[in-house]
Amino acid sequence: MAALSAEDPEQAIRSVLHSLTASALRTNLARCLVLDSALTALEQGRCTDPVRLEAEQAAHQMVGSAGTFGFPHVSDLAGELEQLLAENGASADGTPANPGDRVDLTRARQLLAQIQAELTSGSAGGHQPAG
Amino acid sequence: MSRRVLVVDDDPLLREVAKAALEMVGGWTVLTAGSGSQAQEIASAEQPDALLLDVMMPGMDGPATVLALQEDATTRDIPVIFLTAKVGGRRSDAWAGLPVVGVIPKPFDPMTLSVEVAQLLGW
Repeated sequence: MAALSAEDPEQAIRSVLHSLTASALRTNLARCLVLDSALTALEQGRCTDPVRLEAEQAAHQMVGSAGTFGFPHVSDLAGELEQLLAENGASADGTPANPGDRVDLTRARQLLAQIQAELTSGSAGGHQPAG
Repeated sequence: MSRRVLVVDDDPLLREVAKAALEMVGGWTVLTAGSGSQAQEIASAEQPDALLLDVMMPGMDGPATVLALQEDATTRDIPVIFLTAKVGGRRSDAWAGLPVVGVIPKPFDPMTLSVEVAQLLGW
């Protein structure tokens, strides 16, 4: 963790964010893999509810993490992806829905591709958190 | 004596940022937990002045953690603030009636987090 500075909290916070950004990028790219697996399962009509929930959680976590670590647009995209997955919960009678029936998979794929591209670009380009 | 806040989030990086923000900007002492069950244990043992609690966590999530804290006489009066990515619909409806002081949306700004917490708690 970065050295603390009692004199300048803003600079100290920036240092903390900077020291954690590479880890946050790796974590969010790993979340992309979870999302990719879930979308593949949805496309193939074999997505179970736990898989969908794990993907929804990965997207939700990315909303907070990406935004805090300086990727506000990724945060927005992840929020939209989370919403797509969340809308696909159990049906009104309580039985598990067939996820592929309702998720807009084309849009979900577009969102994931854009998220991966922006994270990869930030990772390669020495991205600095907005902090 | 410094205020003590328990930050609960399953994302260790966000936990660290929130802890740094509340310590460096707010000047408070910060305890951390990575799960709802761990939060319950720490809250009971340490009696923090407030909890900043992530909503969506594996296992015991935020709302379940609030209910568990309510059932324990030693923790039921500790004020809780939800910290969560913006959500709507049926999930936010599930929070209705929970005794939380407020909600701070993720992503949060580390520079203003302590101000938001203080405002919600009247500190």
